[in-house]
Formats: sequence, structure tokens, C-alpha cells
Amino acid sequence: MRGIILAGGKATRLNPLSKVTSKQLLPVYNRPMIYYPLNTLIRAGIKEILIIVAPERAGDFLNLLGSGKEFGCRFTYEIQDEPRGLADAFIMGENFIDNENVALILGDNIFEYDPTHDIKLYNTGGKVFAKKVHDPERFGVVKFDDNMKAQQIIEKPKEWISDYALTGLYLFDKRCVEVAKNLQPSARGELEIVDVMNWYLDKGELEVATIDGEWEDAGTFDSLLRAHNLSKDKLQDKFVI
Amino acid sequence: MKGIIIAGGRGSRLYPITKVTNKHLLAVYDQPLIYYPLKTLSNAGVKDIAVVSDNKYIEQFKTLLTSNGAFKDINFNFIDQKEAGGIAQALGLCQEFGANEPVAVILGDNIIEENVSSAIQDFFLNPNGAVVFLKSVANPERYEIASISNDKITQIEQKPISAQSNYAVTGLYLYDSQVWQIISGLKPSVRGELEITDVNLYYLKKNFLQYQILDKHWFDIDTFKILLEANIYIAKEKEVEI
Repeated sequence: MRGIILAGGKATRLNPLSKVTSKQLLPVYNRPMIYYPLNTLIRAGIKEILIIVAPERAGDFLNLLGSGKEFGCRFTYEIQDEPRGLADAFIMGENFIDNENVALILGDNIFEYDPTHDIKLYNTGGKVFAKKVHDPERFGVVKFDDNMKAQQIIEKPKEWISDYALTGLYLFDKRCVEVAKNLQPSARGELEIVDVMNWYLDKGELEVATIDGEWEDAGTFDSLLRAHNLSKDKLQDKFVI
Repeated sequence: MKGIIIAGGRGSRLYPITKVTNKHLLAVYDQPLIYYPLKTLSNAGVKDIAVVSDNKYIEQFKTLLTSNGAFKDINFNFIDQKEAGGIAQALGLCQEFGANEPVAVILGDNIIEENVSSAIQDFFLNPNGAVVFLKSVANPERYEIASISNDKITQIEQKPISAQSNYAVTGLYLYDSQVWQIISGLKPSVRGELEITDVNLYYLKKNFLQYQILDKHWFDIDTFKILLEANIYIAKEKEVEI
């Protein structure tokens, strides 16, 4: 299994904090934000990790994380000139993925949930993780049937379909690269990860697991603040790096 | 009115969040840390401000501060600290900027909640000696502590083992024009740095050291715990539900 951390983007919602640093390098309590998704992958035994960064701060990521040796891993870097949607990570990472399975995690996602077993037991198809939230309209949302089987997935639905948001961790097999390459950009001009999920869902090969514990998508001042507290209270003994 | 923000140092106690980010650029809720001491100065009407920091972060400070409309009436000078050698050493690099005038000095990692504008303005109207700002603390052994008797500072001690007072000297100092000469005459301390305490002690010895006590919160950001406390405090002030 290969790992990809997507840490690009401009994060204008966090200005002026992200004006001269990358959002994923902002502190979350006592570690830079990217250490949290990095820890999630490394704790699950993933050792080959691609880090996709924006050009402005690429040097900071290299200086902070280096070759990966310090973490017992091998890091590869790709520079994303313009954010083109989350699914672009699979296109940028094609050579890196090299026909293996891949775990994509967003660089601003902080999980209390430990997906080590999910990653170790994963074999084929798609596996994604959903969490009940108060503001589903901000996320990709999944509607379940009575047996908690995924029925429908919609990006930022205008009309309520469910309270289950899809979190920023995605496990796919090698087919995701071709799927991403064949996607049409959405109305907002992005290659949507939701469309990759829907491809697997249509084939009956998408598993959507609901997860326990807190989850923060640290894209606003308030979620960043909640992430500090989550880290201090619950994540300190979960670090392997 | 001239002001100096000291924003150098390695911030090694906050490693690894300071590994590629200068401590004074770290987030405190919705603003970079340096905005808070900067506002302490600018709210008082101090508009000529020098920022002293390490060479590798100067460009970031420039970008952050000069592109922000909120600070457009401030005339910034950015001064390269070259090597860390203490607060007074950083101050010494500002001799040219100071031009033998009185100055307000603030440490870039200090958040002072109290409105000190009138204290700063009063000082600049009639600069005479130095003013320090004291805050009562629970653990004096961690701070520079001033002893007070009959409304006068009688002694300043660095991290005293058995403190006679719990008044910490905070990171805001108002100095008259003598400061430039005092700094030129400073000798390095045992740890090899030019100490701001020695500047204050000089004023104390000449009986020219005044003080004001701060009642509201003061944060000296040098641990993860204090950084988190400051984040929570600022968020609560903005009426964020936590």
C-alpha cells in the first residue's frame, strides 16, 4: 500500500495565518498539522509516501520532513502548480502508485480514529470513511440504506440527504488512476474525489465505514482550535513519529 | 514615537512547530503571534516600528506585515539579527533606527491584554528613565522577578529560587534616549548574551526605573501549553464557543 498526503491549496479562509506559511504547516497543539495525517499513515505501516505540495511553500515541507529517513519511511514530493481537485492526486501520483493500492489522506484531516486495521485488511475496491456532522452541506455526503450500505454520494448537497460526511481518507486500488484520468471537471472546474467514489459505488465495490471518535477538517479558525484541544486531550499517546 | 519588536531566536522549546516557522509567525487563534505585540504599539500611536529577526524570516515578516491594510500607516524597518545574542544585542542592532531617541521595546512573543496606550503615550510626552510592566504570576521561579518596596522596584532577579515577590517583568519596556548609550556599554552575561535585565538594572541603580502593574492577562508564549491557553483565551474574547 502506498500513501499520498495532499497538502496543496491556498487556504484563503485562514488568512492571515496562511499568508506566509502553508496551512498544513500551521501548528496543531505541539506538532505541525501535516504530522497528524502522516502519523495516521505511518502507524498503519505505510512506508512509501508521496507528499503533494503547492509551489510557494515546497521548500518548507522539504526542510521539515526531509527524505523520510527520520520517520523510517521514504518520502516523494510532487508540486501541484494549481489546485485541480482532490482526484488529481491520483493522476499526479500515477508513477508513484505504480499499480499498487493507495491510501490518500488530506493534509488537514485530523482523526482520533485509527484506521490501521482497515488499511492492513484492505484488498481491493474502494473504502472510505464517514462521520456524522452538524454541517453536512460543507462536505461530500453519503446516504445509507437501512443496512448502512452506501446508496448515494453527493458533493456539498444543496438539499439534505444525510448527516454523514465523507472524511479525508480514501483507500483505492490501482484502478483509481484511470478513473481519475477519465473524469470530467465538475461545475466548479475540479476533478472531484466524489466522482471516483461514485465509480466504485456504481460497480458495487465501494465500502463506506462509519468511524468513531473526533475528526477535524482544520480549514477554519474554529476547527483549528478544536484540533488543538483534540490533540492535547486525546492524540498525544497515539504518535509513533 | 519609535517602537522595536524583537522577533528573533530559534524557538527551540516549541520544536517541531518552529522547525520551519519563526515562533512569532505561529498562529494564535486567527492571527499570527506578532500581530498582538504590534497592535500594542500601534494602538498607542507608535508608527515607526523596527522588527528584528533572523535573516531567513525577514522576507516573510515583510510580506506578512506590509501587505496587510490594517498596518498601512506604519513605517516598518526590518533588521537582520544575524546571530542570536540576547534581547539587548538585538536592541543594539537598532542604534541607527533609534537615532538617540526614546523607544518602546516589546518582545514579539508577548501578548498583553491590558490597554497600555496611555502609559506609552504619557512616557513619550516626557521620557525620563525607563518603565517596565509587571504582572503577578503563580510560578515566579520561571520568570524575571521585580521586588517592590514603598512603591519602588528595589531588585530584579532572574528566575529566583525563593522569590520575595511574584511580580514578573513582562516583555514591554519603555526607555528614554539614555538606553542607546547603556547598550553600547553592556558586557555579555555568564551565558554569553547581552541581557535586557542588565539594561533595567542600570536604570534601577540610577533610580530611574518606574513600573506599572498589569491586571489583565499576559501571555509569554514559550510552551505548547501557554500557546494553547492563549489560543483559547483569544477565541473566547471573540465569543467563539469552544
